[in-house]
Amino acid sequence: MAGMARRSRREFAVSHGNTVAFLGWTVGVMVYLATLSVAGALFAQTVLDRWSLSLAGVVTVQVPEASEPASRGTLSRQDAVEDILDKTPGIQSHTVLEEERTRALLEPWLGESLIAELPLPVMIDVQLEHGARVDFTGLGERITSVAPGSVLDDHGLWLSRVAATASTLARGGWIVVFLVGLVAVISVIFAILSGLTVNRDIVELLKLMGARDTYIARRFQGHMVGTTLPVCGLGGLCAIGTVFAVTGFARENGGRSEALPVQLSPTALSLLDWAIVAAVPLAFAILTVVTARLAALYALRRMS
Amino acid sequence: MSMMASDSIVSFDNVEMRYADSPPILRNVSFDIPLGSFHFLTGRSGAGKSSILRMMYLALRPNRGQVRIFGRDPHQGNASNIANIRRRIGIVFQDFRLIDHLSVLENVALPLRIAGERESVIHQHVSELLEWVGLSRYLDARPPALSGGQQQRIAIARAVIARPSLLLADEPTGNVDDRLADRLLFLFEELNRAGTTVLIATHNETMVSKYRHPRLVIIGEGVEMQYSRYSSASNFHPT
Ligand SMILES: Nc1ncnc2c1ncn2[C@@H]1O[C@H](COP(=O)(O)OP(=O)(O)OP(=O)(O)O)[C@@H](O)[C@H]1O
Ligand SMILES: [Mg+2]
Repeated sequence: MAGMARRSRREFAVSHGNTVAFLGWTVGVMVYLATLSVAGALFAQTVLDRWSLSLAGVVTVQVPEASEPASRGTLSRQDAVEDILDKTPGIQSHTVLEEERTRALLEPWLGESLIAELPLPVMIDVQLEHGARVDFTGLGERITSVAPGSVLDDHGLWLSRVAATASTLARGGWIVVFLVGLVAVISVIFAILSGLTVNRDIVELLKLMGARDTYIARRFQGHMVGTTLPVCGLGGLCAIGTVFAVTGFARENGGRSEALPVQLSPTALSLLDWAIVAAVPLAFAILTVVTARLAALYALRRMS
Repeated sequence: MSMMASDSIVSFDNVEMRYADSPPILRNVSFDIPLGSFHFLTGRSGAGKSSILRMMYLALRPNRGQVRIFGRDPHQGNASNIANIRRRIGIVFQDFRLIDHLSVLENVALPLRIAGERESVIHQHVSELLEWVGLSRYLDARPPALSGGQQQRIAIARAVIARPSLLLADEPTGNVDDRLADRLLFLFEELNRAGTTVLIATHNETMVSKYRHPRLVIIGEGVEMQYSRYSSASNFHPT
């Protein structure tokens, strides 16, 4: 009896024919895209945040043939450079990288055999004071005057480019979500309106029997919601699966991520970020239901 | 029946009706259908029987004059007022208007669904009524798979299932044999005895003369009320 009741309650949904099947596919793909975009935007944002945190103010100095005597004075080139760094205002501290680390850093760029043959430069990490503005051109000139061939590597320029790209990605992700949401709304409205037009006779019949617009709207929603809700869930799951697959792939091929402060892995996102990603399919589900209802009510009011 | 302003369930007052730009098919039509009565509505094909019923179930508005249902002007007030009135009217459409993709049971259940009736009640009432009209074997069938007469009985069952205050039946026996027509007429009379006001549009002269209920006859563009000499006193309501 309960089974019968459930069946018959479901049975009286107005059929939309192919429109709903088509809408199912559309909404599924859109939810997939939107979820993926949000995940991408959040990744970009996370990468950006951590980079700015850990790299802001880091400058590297490469000193080749560091144990040779400096051009001036009695110190070795390395000591002379460190001396200059000590005396430059705005520099908080500097650290000489161990040879192991230097090797590891350069290996991907130069190759193992070359590394073994080449005399390695000494690399010095320079930590700037927060907010300090250092004249890098002047510093660079002073360093090369004691240790010719040294390179002052200012990450600032490079970082700002990366940051710009990341924040564009993040912003782009949200714009994609907005556009995809807009298209979803338009598709749902179109499906509801064409459903009402195709079923005009039934709508008229229901009205003649004294059915209210809210009742008829619910019948029209019924079928659509039954299709779009599972599809929203499926699209979201596929998107999350894609995120895991892509990040897993990146990690396996990520020998070079030594240089990155953020591992491109699912754990890079916070729990809150993941909650936001999971909320996207849910938001789409709610969006389609509410849109379907409002569109149906609006159209029904105009039909009578 | 607190909403009754008079004991007329339907009253036409100087009604004129035309479709689009064609000349009026009805002019200066005035009559009253008393509460609890049983009337036939007759007239030649194309005279306007269906049009009169359409005005009664509020699918058409008169171009002139006034139609009052349950003692009120139905078009005053909001849309839910019209829905409320329609819920109290059972309609047998001349072309049945069954929903093809719903089962027989679901088609007949529609008015109860709209009224928000409980599922168990719906199933019981619908199967009882379908048994009565001889369709208990077809609960799960779809209307297109049934004969014209069977579809007509479904349409009738759907019109009476919610025990309407007013039953408007447009040619309800047009597709059935005489024996079945009698059975359906008996159903309408039972319903009438239980309080439903019945109006049946038909050009089946044999049936009209056999049952001797008062009749509204469309003659030209006018409507005339005719009482059979033998019609029962209870149905006789001079106005
Ligand atoms: N939707 C419409 N648009 C235009 N004219 C119509 C429409 N419906 C009916 N008519 C015309 O109005 C007149 C009355 O039609 P109606 O259907 O009310 O007649 P009827 O008495 O029910 O006929 P029948 O016994 O054949 O069912 C006819 O001349 C018909 O052509
Ligand atoms: Mg007719």
